[in-house]
Amino acid sequence: MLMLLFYLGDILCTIKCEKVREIAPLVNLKTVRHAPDYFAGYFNYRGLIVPVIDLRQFIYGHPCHKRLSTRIILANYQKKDSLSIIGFMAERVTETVMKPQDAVLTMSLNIRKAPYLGNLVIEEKEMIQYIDLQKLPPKLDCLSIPEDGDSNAAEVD
Amino acid sequence: MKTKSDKNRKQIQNSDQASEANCWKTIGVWGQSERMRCPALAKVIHCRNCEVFTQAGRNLLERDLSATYQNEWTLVLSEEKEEVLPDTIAAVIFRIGDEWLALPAKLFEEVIDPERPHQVPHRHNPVLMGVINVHGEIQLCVSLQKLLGIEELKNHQFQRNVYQRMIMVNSESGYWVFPADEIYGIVRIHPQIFQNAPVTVSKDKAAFTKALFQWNDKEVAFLDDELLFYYLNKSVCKPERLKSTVE
Amino acid sequence: MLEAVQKALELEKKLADINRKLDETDSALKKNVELLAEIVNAKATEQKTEQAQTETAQPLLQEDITNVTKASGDLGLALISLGTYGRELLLIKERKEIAIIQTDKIAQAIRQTDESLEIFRKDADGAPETKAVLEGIEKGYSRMKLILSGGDNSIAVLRGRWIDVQEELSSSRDDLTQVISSLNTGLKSLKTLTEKEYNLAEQDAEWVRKIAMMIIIGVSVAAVLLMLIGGSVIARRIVQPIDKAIAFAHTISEGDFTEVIELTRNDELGKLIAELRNMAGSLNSLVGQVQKSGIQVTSSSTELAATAREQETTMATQVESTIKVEKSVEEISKVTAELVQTMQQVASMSEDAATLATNSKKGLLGMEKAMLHMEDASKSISGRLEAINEKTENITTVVTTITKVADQTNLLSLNAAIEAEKAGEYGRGFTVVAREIRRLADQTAVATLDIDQMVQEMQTAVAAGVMEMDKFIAEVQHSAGDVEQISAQLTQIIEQVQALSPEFENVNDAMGNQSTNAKKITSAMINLSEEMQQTKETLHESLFAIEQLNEAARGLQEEVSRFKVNTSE
Repeated sequence: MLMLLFYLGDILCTIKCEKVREIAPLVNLKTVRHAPDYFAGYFNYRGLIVPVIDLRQFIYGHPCHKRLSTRIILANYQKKDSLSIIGFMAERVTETVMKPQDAVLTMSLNIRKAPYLGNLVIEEKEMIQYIDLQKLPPKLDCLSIPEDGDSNAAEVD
Repeated sequence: MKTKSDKNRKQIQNSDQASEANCWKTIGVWGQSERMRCPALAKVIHCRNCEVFTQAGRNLLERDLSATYQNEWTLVLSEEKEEVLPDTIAAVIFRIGDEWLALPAKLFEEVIDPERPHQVPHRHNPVLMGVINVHGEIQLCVSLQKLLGIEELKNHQFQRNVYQRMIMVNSESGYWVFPADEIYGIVRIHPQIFQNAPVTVSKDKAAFTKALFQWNDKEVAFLDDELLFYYLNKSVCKPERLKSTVE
Repeated sequence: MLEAVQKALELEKKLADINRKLDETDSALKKNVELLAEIVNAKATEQKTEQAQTETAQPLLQEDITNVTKASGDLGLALISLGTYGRELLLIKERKEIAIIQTDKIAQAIRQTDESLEIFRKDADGAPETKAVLEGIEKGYSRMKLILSGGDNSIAVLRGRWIDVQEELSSSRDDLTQVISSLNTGLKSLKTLTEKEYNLAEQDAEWVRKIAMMIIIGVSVAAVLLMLIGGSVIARRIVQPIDKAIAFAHTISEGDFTEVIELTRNDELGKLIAELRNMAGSLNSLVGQVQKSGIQVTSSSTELAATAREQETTMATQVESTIKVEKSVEEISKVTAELVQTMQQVASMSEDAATLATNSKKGLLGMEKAMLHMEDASKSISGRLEAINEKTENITTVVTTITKVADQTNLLSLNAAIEAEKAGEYGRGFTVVAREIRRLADQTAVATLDIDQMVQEMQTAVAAGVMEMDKFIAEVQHSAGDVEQISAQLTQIIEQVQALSPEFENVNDAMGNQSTNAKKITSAMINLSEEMQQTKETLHESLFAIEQLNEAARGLQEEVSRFKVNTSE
């Protein structure tokens, strides 16, 4: 299982790559007034208008630094027959690691406000924050992208 | 509060890195001193395998993003991805001497750095250059230049970023390794653009040319791979042995 | 007296006549005697020749000849003596001498002549010429005899008469003198008589007055007056003029010509006085002129002496001055020579200075060139540094590009890895490739960082170098400026010194000329001095002569001053 490593500030985070469509460099984003601060803006991805979420702002309340290594992780969200893409801006997106399927440790902790942050991955005795991208969109108020196949989050929301 | 602590931590990390900065040039593999050796080298063998080195490299990407660069990327990403045209053939374009040649991409096994082949004793065939070691396996090295009768270039005044390569192709009869003066890359061509009038090419070359096509103001000869390999087999070695090895 | 004088004049006439006759006769006689002597001589010579031819000479004849010759000589001599005696007679003033000459000398001469003639007469038979001559002689002789002693008109008689007349005249003169002296005495006695008479008249008058009681005073007075007038007239007419004449003569004899004597009379006294007056006037004018000339000479000689003395003094001063001038000129010459030497030294020194300055300037020019070269070099270095800086800028852009490449490579590796993951088992190899790509990106990144660091170091170094170069260039420029300034100053010095050199030469030349001129002047001055010395000596001599002249003039003046001269004339 391929995992993508990145930082949100100083915190090393990781996601599974199976739903990652592509990693795009930081591009010009079309911002929207009155949108929440974690909404970084839209951008044209090969003809598709893709919303971009500042993940660090969303989780840690601080915007990403605009650096070379600050990139947009494009994730696919398949709902029935329609495909939607969400971009997540993160820092120092430069490394992938191969991990076994059971590398993600499911914690007993269930954070209602942020169900996507519950798990960890161990890498060389270091604990890495695992972010579950599937559980993330329902928490994004501004986006009407349903969590595919999982109604719980929506219900919770 | 959080932000401040983050910043502090980052600074510390940066300063640590700064202290280790250029260690590959002092105590690493590029170091001048023989006595002072990084202990980590014993484990990682080469600095490029070391986490410190990698991290240093990554730090380059921690530089600020220039607006131009960002604009460039914005444009690049806004363009729709080229769709692979139907009925097109992927071909690798390469150059031997002055002649630009092409072979189907599916035949290409690997491109390796140029290496001097070991001459085979008691065989004085101009086409057979000798044998070459590719990842521990002995492969036959032939000269397409000699086979096609292309004149060798006297002056090698070519652009920068032009490198001689060894191309290893996989035919039905086995692997063949031959040197090329330059590899341009893979292009997709449509058979419609093929021209069947090999007038300007040399006689020998004409025999092996299936078709000609225009590419970036250059005329490229798309070689007949079956004929080429047949001739190679016939003139160079025992096809049985090669076949058997392939099988 | 008049008779005597007339007689004397007559005699004088007769004497002159006789004298003429005597001369004529004498010359005729002399001629004849000479002729005779010649004839005699010729005969004698002839006879001598004959005698010499025949050798049997007649001694008698020879004797005759000798006698004749002798006689002719005697005759000549006697005749000449006769002439001489005749003349002597004319000059004789005493009667006794006439007698002596007449009786003794003339008689003797006549006798001698007669004897000689007698001899000739004896011999005169032969030659007719001799006879004619003799006849002439005899004729002349007889006339001579006649003139000398015969008759009333003979010299002796006439002379005797002349002497008588003379004596007569002399006696009459003595008489005249006696008359004058008697006249004088007469006058004196008259004077005394008159004085006596005057006294008598006075006494008479006194007596008449006393006696006749004043009645006949008028008569007496008239008488007295008459007497007085008569006496005064007499006194005035004779005594006064004579006294005056005497006094006048006396004054003149004393040398006083200032006195004037009045001309009052027309008689002998008046004439005498007039003569005296004329004489005094002539003397007066003469002595006056002499005095004037003497005064003039004295004053002129004094003036001359003074002038000469003055001149001498002036000359002495001039000589002194000349010597002084000479010394001064010598001094000047010496000083000029020294000055010339000094000037030459100065000129050579200034030349040396110019040479040194030129050398220095050359050096400075070299330095300036070097400086300029240095400046250029520095600028070029600076320029190169700038170029390097630009290059490093380029490198920085390249670094940026490489950074981009590294970034993209890394991104590509990520995407490749993700694609490989999607490919599942088929993508395994590709995962490795992706990892390799990432490592390459890392290496690129590190290299880029290295380059970047190097570039930064280089930039710092270049910046420092540029700064240093700028500083250096500024310093060099400053130095170049200094050098230029020094060079300019040196140029100025050289120019000044070079400008001085011809001046020196001019001064030198002028001084040389001056020296030469001074030398010339010195020699000229020496000559002048010598000449002056000579002139001084000459002057001294002339002064001496002038003084002598002056003295002589003074003596003359003294002598002349004894005469009193009437300057009004």
